Amino acid sequence: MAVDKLVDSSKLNAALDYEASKIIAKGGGTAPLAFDFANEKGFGDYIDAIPSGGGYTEEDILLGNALTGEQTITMSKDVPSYYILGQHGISKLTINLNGYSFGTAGYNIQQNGVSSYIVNGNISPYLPAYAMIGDGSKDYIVVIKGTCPRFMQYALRDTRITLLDFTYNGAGANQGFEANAFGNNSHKLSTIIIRGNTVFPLKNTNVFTQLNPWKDGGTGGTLYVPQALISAYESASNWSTILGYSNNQILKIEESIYDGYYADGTPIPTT
Amino acid sequence: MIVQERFIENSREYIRTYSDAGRYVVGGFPEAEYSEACDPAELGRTYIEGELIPPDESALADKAEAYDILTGVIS
Repeated sequence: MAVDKLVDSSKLNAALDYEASKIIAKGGGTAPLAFDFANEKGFGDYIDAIPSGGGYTEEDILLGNALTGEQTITMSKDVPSYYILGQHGISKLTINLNGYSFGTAGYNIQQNGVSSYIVNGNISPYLPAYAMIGDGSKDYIVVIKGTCPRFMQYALRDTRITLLDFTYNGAGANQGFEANAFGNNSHKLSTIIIRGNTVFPLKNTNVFTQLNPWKDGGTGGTLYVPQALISAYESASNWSTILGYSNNQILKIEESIYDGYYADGTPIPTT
Repeated sequence: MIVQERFIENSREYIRTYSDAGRYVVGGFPEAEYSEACDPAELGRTYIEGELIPPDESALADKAEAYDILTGVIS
């Protein structure tokens, strides 16, 4: 029996138009759809073309999985340790910690060709070894839009990291840059911005003495800190030695492009 | 036991302080645990030997070397 004989054709057309409009909206397109009578598929092929699952999973993003461009991940657990597999394609990875942190065993994220890692939230208890690295193919920055009390050995060991921006407000014991926090090969790390109201302990001069530009006779590194802490850093243990090298300099955040802005150019919210 | 060594760098005298037992030394400015502390000599900073031992650098260094060989992505 031909069921359509029993249906009001104007209502059927209206229903199909409505269905098509929903498929177009879901797929993010604008082009009209053709209802496939000949192959008895209706709008089936269009529905198949809509990505399923309502977005990427944490694993999709952390492991790369052929994703490209700028990606954001909101954690529902700690950033797993031992996840780095050298994935390609993501240019900017934003990690919303959502109250979680980095798995303390380290080796957390490696996105080859990344240009910036942005971390939203406070890191606790520390940034572990190889937390965020690239593959040496492209310069990248690390911007932590929150506090980080401690950087463990090799926390940011990578040949192409150029800048680190984070906040320290001082609380608790055993905090600061541990020995070799940048390893022995982060030779492009020329800019460090430390916000907050307390001097960040430098627990060993070898954090910098192996690194050009910071080492004695190197090309020079720049430390940006709040104006109120300039003299404190200049006399602080280990910092006084590093900042005494002729090509290194300490500058006021307040008179720089980082005043009111994170190093990725986004404004710092005022509270 | 605390060990202190004087050295001159860029015409300025410094004191390097560390523990011969491989522990953190505690003190300095800001007051914290240091695996090794260098201070301008004229500041006269003092330290005591702490209880904690810094993370084992050699173990991680070996792991880093193995990682570099395996991945070939960090030089």
